[in-house]
Amino acid sequence: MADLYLTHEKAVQMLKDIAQKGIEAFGPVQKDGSHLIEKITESSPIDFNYFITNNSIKEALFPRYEKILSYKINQEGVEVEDVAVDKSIVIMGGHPCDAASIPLMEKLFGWDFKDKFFLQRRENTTIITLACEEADKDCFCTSLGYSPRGEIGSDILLERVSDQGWKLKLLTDKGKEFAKTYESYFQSSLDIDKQYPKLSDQDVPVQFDPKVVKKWIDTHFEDPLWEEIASNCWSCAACTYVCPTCHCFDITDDATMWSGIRTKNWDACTLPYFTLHASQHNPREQHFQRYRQRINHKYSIYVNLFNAISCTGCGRCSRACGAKVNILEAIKMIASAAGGK
Amino acid sequence: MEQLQKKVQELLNNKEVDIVIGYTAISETETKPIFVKKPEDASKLVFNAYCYNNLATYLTRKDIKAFNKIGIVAKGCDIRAIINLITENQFKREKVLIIGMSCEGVTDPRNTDKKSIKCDVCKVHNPHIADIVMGEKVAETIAMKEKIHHADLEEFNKKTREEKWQFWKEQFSKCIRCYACRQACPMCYCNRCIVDLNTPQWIDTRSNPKGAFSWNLVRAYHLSGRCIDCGECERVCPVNIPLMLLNRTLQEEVQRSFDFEAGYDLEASPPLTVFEKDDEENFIR
Amino acid sequence: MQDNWEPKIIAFVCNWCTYAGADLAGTSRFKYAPNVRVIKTPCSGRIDPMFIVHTLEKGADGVMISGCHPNDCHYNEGNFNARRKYIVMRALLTQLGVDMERITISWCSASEGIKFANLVNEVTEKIRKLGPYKDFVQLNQSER
Repeated sequence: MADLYLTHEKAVQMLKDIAQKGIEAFGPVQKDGSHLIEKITESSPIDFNYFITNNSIKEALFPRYEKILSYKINQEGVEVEDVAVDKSIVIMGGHPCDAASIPLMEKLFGWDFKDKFFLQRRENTTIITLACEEADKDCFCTSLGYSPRGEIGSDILLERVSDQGWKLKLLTDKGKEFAKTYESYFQSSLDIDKQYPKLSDQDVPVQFDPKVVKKWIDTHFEDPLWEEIASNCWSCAACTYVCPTCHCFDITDDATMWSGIRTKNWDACTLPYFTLHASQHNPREQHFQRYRQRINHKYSIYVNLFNAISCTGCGRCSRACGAKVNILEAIKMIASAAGGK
Repeated sequence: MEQLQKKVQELLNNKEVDIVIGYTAISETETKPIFVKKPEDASKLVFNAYCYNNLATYLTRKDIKAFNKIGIVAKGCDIRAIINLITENQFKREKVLIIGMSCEGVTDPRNTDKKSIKCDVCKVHNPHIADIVMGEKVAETIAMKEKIHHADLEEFNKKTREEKWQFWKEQFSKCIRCYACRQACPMCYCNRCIVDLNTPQWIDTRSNPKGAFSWNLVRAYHLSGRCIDCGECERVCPVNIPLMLLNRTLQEEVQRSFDFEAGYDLEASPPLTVFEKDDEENFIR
Repeated sequence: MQDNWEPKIIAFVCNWCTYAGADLAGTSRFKYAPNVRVIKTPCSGRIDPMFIVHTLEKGADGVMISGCHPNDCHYNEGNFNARRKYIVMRALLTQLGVDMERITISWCSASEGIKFANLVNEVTEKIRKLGPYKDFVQLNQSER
């Protein structure tokens, strides 16, 4: 198949046009000094000039809040109305660490209970990923087996060839179909800047062995190192919510006497009352217990259940943390305590 | 810096304090909080223009409160927080050993070439209440009696009512309800925050515009007369919502209506717990 | 806008003064608009300014708050505390771009039946001219 290229201008137009068609388009916007992945509208300030977005692409498939049913109570009883999850979705602007999170979340949402809200959306989604051009001290995708040019989870990989735009790499049938449907936005040639840096795996050196880390976690639940690792943590949910793989949720009702809607919203194990029992006992009362749980879940429990680590090394949690808790530093402290490597 | 490290080492050696909360360097331009319990760890302490965190927020954390005597490295705005917590009976003055740091100002966390705008209106570059004072005296540019006007508000106040509503609607639609603002804030220490109560559910917990609006409104309201302008909430917000616009509005209102600014006077009563017979009521029919 | 739209106004009143005043308006057979739904609280000091927000979120077009005159509070100081809270909340709501024309705070004593009736009529007319208040209701999205 002939080479395909895409310029920034055409990408902006393409996203906006897709959004007009009743398809949910998600792309990177620049707002108040940072870049976020948001649902695109006609007026979205789409911009591709960034290292990494503050948030991940997960909210395209796992919304911050979503109605799962509505109900009415009348003389006859309760009438429940289901919610259709049938819109097509196009996501553009994440990096390989974002795309790799989708198969990870599929394991959980497709486990013992098939979560149609995630799975149906996933089926109707095309993911266009931007290969990384930069990495910083908080990136560690390679330590988990991922890559700044990684293709896992993506339908199309965009590799930058100049200041103007990217070359397309069509990875799946969905990707090929997308390229065909939107061929008017692509072009067969682009002025290539041969000097343009290509980030490779060597630029993100491996910093630990996840197997060593898991072994330590599994055998050191009461170790005082956890308190040291989490000493600064003030138990907000910033890390959890910007994380591409964190997936906990809460169900709430917004109702009056005779009608209401049930919503599924994001929740976080780091928040103080996440494990509060009805008896008022809280098994994870202290901040470090909750941080320990987060690392434990990602690096050990998820592996036990699904043979995969629920982390893609994007480093967003470290960047978002106002208390400066750094997950890479934490994992390296564990690896060091476990005896090196 | 060395003076600070030596002093803390001494305090810990003599067991004058059980723990010292301070800052340590991550890089030349980044610091993070550190909890020093061993005298030899005192050498990790630093103090510079990148010490953003308001360490007073840790004084109400359960594990820290359990200590008998807590040393804390604090700049003027942090000391205001400590004073305010004492006026709200969260702990006694004797529980903290305030190591006050003379401070010329911190940089703007989003643009380290500039100074933070909060430092332009600071009245306490030199610690106003402290057990130990460190650092060279800095010239105070604003008198205690002077009424503060914040630079970001002056610009914002020019908007019309509709513009303001649209502005906040857009800003709050970004809010992901992570509560980083709440947790970073030294004044948010309620055992059970109003959003954590669900019988009944006072505040919608969803991160939709209605929920985000209610949350940010209620937090600003519950901070009225208590916010000491450290700006941490705005710094830690993962989606860059200009929260200080609301908090500063209430700071100025409380200053105007009740002649009060939080965190300067150990004997002060929180303004919403008292009243004057002649409080303003020109808005009441 | 529907042709038969009627302003929906919620009034939070204190039991000892304004509620009695409203009662007096009724027993005196003063005519006043039926658009105001009265919610009785023991004291204006109980009226958390967040009630204004909750009420507007649920679809009210206007909110009234009323209590005893200063020095007349049945609990001595409730209204003094309330006054400070309202001062602060008004500054906050104004800064958020809320239409403050729709929020009316008053002191209305048990003997001021006619004041209550007049106030209700005046506020209802004002809200009728302003139209329905959609701003808050539009925030309540359940789909992104």
